[in-house]
Amino acid sequence: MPFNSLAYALLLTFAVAWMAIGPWRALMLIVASLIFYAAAGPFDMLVFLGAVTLNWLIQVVVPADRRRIVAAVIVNIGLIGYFKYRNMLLGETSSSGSYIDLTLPLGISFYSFQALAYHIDVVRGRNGPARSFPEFFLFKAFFPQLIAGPIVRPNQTLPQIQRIFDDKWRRHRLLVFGLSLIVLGLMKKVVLADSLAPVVDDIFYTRPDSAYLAWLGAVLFLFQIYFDFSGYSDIAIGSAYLLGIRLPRNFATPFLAASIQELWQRWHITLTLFLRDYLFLPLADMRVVTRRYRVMQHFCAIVLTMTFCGLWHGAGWNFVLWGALQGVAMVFATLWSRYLPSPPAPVGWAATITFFVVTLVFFRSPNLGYAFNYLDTMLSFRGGWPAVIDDAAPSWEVVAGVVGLFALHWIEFRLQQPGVLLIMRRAEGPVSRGFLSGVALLLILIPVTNVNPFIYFRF
Amino acid sequence: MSFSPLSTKVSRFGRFLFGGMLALLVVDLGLRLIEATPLWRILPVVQPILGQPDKDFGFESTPGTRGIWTTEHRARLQLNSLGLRDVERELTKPAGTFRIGLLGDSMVEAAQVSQQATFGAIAERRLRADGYNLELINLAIAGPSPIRQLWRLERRGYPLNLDLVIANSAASSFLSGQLLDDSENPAYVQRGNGQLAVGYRFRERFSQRHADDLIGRLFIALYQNSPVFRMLYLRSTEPLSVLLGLPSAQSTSQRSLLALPPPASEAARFACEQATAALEPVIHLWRDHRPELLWAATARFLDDLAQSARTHNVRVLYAIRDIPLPPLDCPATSARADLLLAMNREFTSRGIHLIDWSAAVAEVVGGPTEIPRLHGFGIHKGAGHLNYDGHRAWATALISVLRPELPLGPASQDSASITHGDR
Repeated sequence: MPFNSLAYALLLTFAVAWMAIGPWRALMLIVASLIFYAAAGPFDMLVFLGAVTLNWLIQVVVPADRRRIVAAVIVNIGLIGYFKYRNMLLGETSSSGSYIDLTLPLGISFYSFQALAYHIDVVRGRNGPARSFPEFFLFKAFFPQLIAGPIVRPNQTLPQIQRIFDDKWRRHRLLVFGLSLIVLGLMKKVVLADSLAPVVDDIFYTRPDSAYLAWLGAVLFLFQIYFDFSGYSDIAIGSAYLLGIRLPRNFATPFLAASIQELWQRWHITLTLFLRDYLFLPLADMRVVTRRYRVMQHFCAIVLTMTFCGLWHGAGWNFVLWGALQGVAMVFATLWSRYLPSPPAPVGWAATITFFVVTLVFFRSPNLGYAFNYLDTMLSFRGGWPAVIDDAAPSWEVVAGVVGLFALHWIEFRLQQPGVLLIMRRAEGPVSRGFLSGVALLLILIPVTNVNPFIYFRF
Repeated sequence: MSFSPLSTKVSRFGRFLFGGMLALLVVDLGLRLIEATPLWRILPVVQPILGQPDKDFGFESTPGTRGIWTTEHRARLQLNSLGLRDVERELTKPAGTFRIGLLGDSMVEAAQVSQQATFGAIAERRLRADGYNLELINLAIAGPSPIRQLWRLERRGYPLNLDLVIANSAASSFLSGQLLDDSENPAYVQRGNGQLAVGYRFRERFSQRHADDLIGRLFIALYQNSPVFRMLYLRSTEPLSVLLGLPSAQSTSQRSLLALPPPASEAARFACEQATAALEPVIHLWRDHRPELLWAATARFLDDLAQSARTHNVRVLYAIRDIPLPPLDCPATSARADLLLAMNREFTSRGIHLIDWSAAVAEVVGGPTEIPRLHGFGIHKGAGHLNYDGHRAWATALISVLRPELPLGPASQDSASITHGDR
């Protein structure tokens, strides 16, 4: 069930109202989560229920030591491997030709990682286990974060869920904060991401014949994917907040970062932290080389982690290369900061964004060959400034639009300052709630000319 | 001052509603702002509704309507003071000017591109550049029923003192049963004695019954002037599953995008089979006069059109498009030739000149296989309404059809030679 749908608005309204007045809150949240996921279809539902049951059985049957981690890795990585990487490993290509795999069970990459983190953290004693199957089920299925994250750790949400089961749930007072996040997310998704999508699709579909168009396609895709995914995260966090659950932040205006490391600390934060804790640190700490080569091992761990990050995003060599390039860039930036003076912040920012835009071509392209052709056009700087024909927008409007997108990103950064929270606290009340609810509803009702499901739903 | 719990609740609810109304205003303002600035090219806008209920016509365009068309491709759109998708025209024909009316459906109305980019406007510019003193007036109105064009001609065309009319319809529009369906606009319905008469069942619709009362007028004024109200109205007309945004409806449309074309080796056979199948019902109608009722309605429409043109002393050319063009070695080629003979007979006997529009366009672009590229935009190229190349090609075809009909001799410049440079 997409967040930008009337069905979701009704479900969320019902759930929030029930949480405020009703008994059996936990049961209602479980039922609401099942309804939410049921919209994905019976097959996806079956896979999800199977995954939850298997993970619960691991907790019940397998002792809480290394064996449980092995079992959790086998089940969860096995699930992703089977559904997501089977074709890639068998050398088959997707018949759809799309970079979004529609046959992948909804949200499998997210809920599998979340289950893996749960078992590892329980075994390592970072948090206690769920006390019952319903508790475990709600931890996994809590609908605002079920299909595209944020990837939550058990210590972040399980205690909050347990409070609901213990009937100690309390509503957050600042409803305007939750509603504002939902409105912000819908603005990003409905007004911006869905508006950019047809332009990006057209450019990538028709294979641009000029560097101008190729750059435009890549830059607009940068913002499309950001608005799409961070919009989703904002709605998820806002929805959970209205239901009395705090979810971790997932984006922190990443395109203002002055280095590639900083960008990844601000982009899909929960995934970056997951990869850092469960993949990079074990790889970097593994005692496989002598002390002399530990730095080299550290760099290899960075590249391997980011390659895996690329693979997580999609089953294709273009994703693998995209991830590996992120890793190599991080190593390069680390070496630079070690041996050379830091460049001025604007230079670092420009270099970081340019690198990210260029490498995103691998992410958006259907395969490696296409990506190299696209990059060839992009980096050749051929084609010149396009003539304005056929009702096309003049170039100055396009350039102003791109500058406007960066300006919006900066405004978003300003909106995240603590002062805004104070303003919200002052504005809290029926008028502001009515206003934000009304804006959210109207944004959902804005007519769609192209259907664009959230990109990360099928990752 | 203390409030009872009930009055507190009522007061809170009232303030909540006030906040909601404020949201309506803000979003309305936002949508207007987008429309008024270059942001219309990319950000969400609400498509205009180009007309309103009409007791005689079913639905008639409202003069002066303006907005941003968003279906298939975005374009600024404005109807002139006569309610036509055209530049402003004087009702009185300027002296010495040859006036041509361009009748047709949404393909001719061409809301997907700016007015200057429509094939009618391009053809007018080119012919004027060649020295012809003429006006090519776009009378088209969206809708699949050919009968709408006849009423349109009667109401909007003849008052302009036209010298020539060129109508453009899809072959399928005669097969769809629209000529017999009076639920949305006038159509031919069978009376008890078996005779066809013009029916107005659409007048029973709620929107028609209330079109002239205060609520109806207020409703029309609201949807014409408030983007938010128009948005709410348009969304309310959608099926429930679409309105709710459930994925079944969405994924179907997305998957249809991913359908793969047949392999190149199979393309010719596939095209032949498709053309043969598509020609069959057209042949049944025009050559065999089956189904009888459909043919009776078609014949009646042609009779009425011919009678109307005779009464107003206007010559009519009728371009029928989308008569499938099979590959040369396909057996359906001869069937198509037979069909055209039969169609030509029907039109000529009524004093109307038939134009095989698909063939005319195919000749311009170098063959039938090139026609799909004239339709659709971006990733949807290949199907849908005309794109910019399509309008240029249609303009060239229109000029070649019109030249023999024009009273003045061609000027020195051959307009067909500037096919691609002119916009």
